[in-house]
Amino acid sequence: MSADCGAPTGIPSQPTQTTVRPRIVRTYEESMKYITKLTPNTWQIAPGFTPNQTVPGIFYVNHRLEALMLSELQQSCSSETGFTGFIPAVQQIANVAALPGIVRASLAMPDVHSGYGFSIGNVAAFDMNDPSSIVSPGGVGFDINCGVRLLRTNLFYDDVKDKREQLAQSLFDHIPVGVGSKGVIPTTAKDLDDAMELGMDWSLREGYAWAEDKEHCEEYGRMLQADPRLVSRRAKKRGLPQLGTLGAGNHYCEIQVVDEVCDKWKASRMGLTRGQVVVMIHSGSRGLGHQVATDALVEMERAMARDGIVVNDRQLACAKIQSREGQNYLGSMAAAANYAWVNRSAMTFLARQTFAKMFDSTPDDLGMEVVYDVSHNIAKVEQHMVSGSLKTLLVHRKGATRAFPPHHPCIPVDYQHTGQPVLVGGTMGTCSYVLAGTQKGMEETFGSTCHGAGRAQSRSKSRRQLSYTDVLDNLQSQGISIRVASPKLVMEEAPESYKDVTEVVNTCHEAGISEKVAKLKPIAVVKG
Amino acid sequence: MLISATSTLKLGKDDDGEDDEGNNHAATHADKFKFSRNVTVEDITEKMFRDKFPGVELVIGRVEGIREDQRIVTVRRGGRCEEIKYWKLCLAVGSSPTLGPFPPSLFSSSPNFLNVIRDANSVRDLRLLLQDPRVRSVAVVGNGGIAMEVVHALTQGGGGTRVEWIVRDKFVGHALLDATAAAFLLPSLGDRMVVEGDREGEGGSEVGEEGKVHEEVDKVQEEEGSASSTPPPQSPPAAKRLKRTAALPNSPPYGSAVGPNWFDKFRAGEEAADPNNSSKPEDVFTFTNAKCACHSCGPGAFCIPMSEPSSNETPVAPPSAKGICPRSRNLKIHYSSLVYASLVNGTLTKSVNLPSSPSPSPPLPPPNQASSAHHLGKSGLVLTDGAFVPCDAVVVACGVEPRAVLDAALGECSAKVRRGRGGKVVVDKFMETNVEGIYAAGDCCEMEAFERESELFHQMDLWSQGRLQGQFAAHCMLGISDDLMSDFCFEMFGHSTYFLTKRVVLLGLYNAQKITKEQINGFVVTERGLLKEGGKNFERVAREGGKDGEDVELEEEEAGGAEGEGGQEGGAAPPFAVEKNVDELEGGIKVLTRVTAGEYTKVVVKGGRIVGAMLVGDSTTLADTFEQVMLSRINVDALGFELLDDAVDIEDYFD
Repeated sequence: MSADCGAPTGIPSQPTQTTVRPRIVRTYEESMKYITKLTPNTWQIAPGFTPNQTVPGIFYVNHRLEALMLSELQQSCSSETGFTGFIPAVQQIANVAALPGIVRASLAMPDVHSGYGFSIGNVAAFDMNDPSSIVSPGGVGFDINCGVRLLRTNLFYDDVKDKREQLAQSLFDHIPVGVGSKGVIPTTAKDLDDAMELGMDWSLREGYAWAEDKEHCEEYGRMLQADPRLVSRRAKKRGLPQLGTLGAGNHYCEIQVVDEVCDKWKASRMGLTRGQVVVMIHSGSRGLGHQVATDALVEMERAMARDGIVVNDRQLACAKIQSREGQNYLGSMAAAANYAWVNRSAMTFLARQTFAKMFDSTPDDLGMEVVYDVSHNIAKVEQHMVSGSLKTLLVHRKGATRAFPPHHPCIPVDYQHTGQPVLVGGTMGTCSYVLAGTQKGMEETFGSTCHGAGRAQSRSKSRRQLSYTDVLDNLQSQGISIRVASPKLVMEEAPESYKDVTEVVNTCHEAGISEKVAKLKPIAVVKG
Repeated sequence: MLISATSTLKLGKDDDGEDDEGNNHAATHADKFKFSRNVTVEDITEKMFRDKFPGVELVIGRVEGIREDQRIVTVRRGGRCEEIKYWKLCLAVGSSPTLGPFPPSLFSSSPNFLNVIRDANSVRDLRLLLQDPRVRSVAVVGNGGIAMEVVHALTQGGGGTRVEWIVRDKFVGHALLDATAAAFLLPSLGDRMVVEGDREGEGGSEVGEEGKVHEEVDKVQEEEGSASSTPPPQSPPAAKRLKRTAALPNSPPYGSAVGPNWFDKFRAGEEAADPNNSSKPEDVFTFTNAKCACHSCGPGAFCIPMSEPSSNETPVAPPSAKGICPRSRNLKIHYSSLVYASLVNGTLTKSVNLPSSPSPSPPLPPPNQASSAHHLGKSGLVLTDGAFVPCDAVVVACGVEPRAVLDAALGECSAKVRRGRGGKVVVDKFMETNVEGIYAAGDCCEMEAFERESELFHQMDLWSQGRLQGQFAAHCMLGISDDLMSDFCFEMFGHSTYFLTKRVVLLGLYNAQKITKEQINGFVVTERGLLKEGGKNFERVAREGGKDGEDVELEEEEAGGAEGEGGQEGGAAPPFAVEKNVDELEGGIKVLTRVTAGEYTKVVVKGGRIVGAMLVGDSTTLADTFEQVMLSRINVDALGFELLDDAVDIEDYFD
């Protein structure tokens, strides 16, 4: 343990060799013997690719995305650096397939890319009735219950065209954004505990949410197993000032227009038509979730030797679901998830106020209902059919969205016939999608689909490779003039950066694990 | 002073507010004070204050002493003294700006020549001064945060004022940045920037033989000293019409600190005063926070163009290449220079506090500028290297000094309060001094306890910190500081600002403060990086990066081949030259740096954990990720240099 700074927590720098298996070094050609293409959109990583791998790894990619996956692997195999640096996504998927208690397969959505332990876009389910099954904070991610919420309005593009600058500015003024921003909701330590316990019930009680908002959230906006007492003091300290803030980094709030309707009937059930103005909020549990995850990683790393758990990557620290550490994590994760819902509800409240003020109306009259609210960094207990029998599973979704099919009991009455709405936020400033869950997804991916843009053209990369003036020239030659825009966002307006989320969504559509309903295009962005 | 004080008041409405009046007489002048995001108070009077903040009484006067045994503070209002009893008292007196090399007599004799940015009035004065058509050139003396912001402000405005920046160090922004960041930021000023002074051995052409010039100056000085001890003629050439509010420097001359948004005030006034200047190019670009959009990677609200032709909208004027701000003005930087003497209307005044022996003089003939200027009745500054810098006004930003204001406020109780660095009062973890009932916040306090206990925290005299200190002190004084509540803001240092069109975010021990002995004069590692034999000049990389990288080879050290792939694929736009470097210091401290045309990123890693980060330009979008990873103390050793690899979205990795 590092005693250098007397820090109360922190992940020790020395790997505990007893709990981590050595990595197998293979050439690219050797590796490819384990990797086969099953269908035009599906690839399999056979057991044996990583030590102790019990189930296959399966990833959904189309032609272009597959090249990215494999070139990443190739690069890693030929790399001189050996064991440092990022582990390629293929390797990470297979490492997860070697975790105790995993069932069917370690699945990866088309937007898969390297993450801490589990890759972003990884879905893994563990049998609750198998005593050796584990839960891993790396399979949820640091920003617990990071998710997307979509608000509809009765407005159309023409209604906001002349006002979008003021709208964006007004949203920016109302929503606390950025590093060090403080929430607008006055909170005490007691409020924080209540919010973590009650989730959106707290928002409702305090008057920041509508009763029907809850209906259109996963878990009705509240995870019942949340126990704020399990959340460390440090996590609470980090969370308190940030309650009701949007956050920075990849969190944003966008005013969007429904650009294209792919399934008219489903879209109309969701209250969406072409040209309509909607608001998308992408936010999570920020510092609180980060600390909850870190605390759990530290605690589990200690428990692994005791319980004899051995993993392929130190970042995959985990604990048996039924162990004290496992239960502590699930309770505190649920508390952080509730906190994230309260956060998104606060943002919803502010967006409604802003629109009402701007259009001299009420949020009710503007029809600003929550279309849906998805969580794409979460672990949940669900029931699925595995090899013909019904099983209770703990499904980890990290950078993947739940996409339950029509008639599933866990989705709201309004969407019983359409399937669960899935909100896919593109890279900030590019387009986003509304999808719907399918039966095929339920059977293949534990009812999961993609969550966002992936790394095909990462934000930083597109910015660096395209010159601002090139993009401007390009747009101007198309007769598009620009009134107000950030150069960076203009850059992301480039068709190249659109490919990303569209290809991801199309791959899911073609694979049948979700269906496209509508495409949304931003007209204004508020970011931290 | 007002920063902390109003923050304190905002939260702690129960305390009397007498902590705030200190020497607040300037607050009665008609000017805007932003109290918080929503409350703007114009022309603060005691009555207005009562109406705005019921339950809070504002006493405007001067504190002349504290009797801590009886808990009484003596306040002079008008002509008489009043005694106010207190239960708890918060010192939020701030600090007073030092005049650097300029003798106080010069300040009082030529107030329009020397300017100090400290309060709203001084901002207004500077604004008025710059509106004077006769003020064509302004010298800025100092190299701290305020100097940087002043230069930023002066170079951002319209018009053609010439700026001469005199810094004593080898790079600008000494107090906040490092040499690499400074070199990276400066090219954004455009091509019209001139660099002078002994940097990298290239001496400016105007550098004269200092010995001779100094002799001249000394001679003139002597003559004047003997002939006329009377002040020089009260006819400053520039801005004679201005009505000045500044008082003598030995009495506390300033009102409350102007606050973090002073630049907005500066700009607001500038634009309002110049109505026919309404169609400036930046109006097309930004509508938020009045920041130049050349690199708008900061927080904000943006509209996105819809792909439909709309003829009634103004097309964007194509910006000049590589995001260089088209509106930057003439800026000339004099490195490693001190002011040797000041010349006001031909009257020479030698500087004070000069180092005893100036650096060895180069054997060049004197340009004789100083003496000829003297005869013509010009104004300007003579530098220690002998150069003469003509200017019509000087902005002095040579740092602040808390001792004097504290001594004045504390009176006889001064000796009982424990003092620390520079005479600041030392506070404990609850912002209380060693004298019971006396708290302190802002520039006048030293947060020694926090610096000791929070690994990633270090105190800097910044407006942002002052505000947090004020809020926290209020919580503590009211006894509502459940430590869950508010002290987390002192867990880690964090500062976000704009400088020369780029956003700068500083996190934690970004210059390896506290953890390495090599921190003297900023950060030698990066400085060496800049000056390394055969190494790259970052300035050039950033300037020419967009063209082609032929004369910029890659550093071969540990960077590996990580850069390569970005370049080869696509082939359309040539990649920017990427400069990467890893420096290992003693004690397992590693410093990772990365420079591209759009960003400068520096990460300080200790024991596998990130303890500090300096983000400039595009990489400031990573601020939130680094903040979270630092606070979570996640071990990043396994990632090696790929931590800064742009092929990986580090934001997502830790999401």
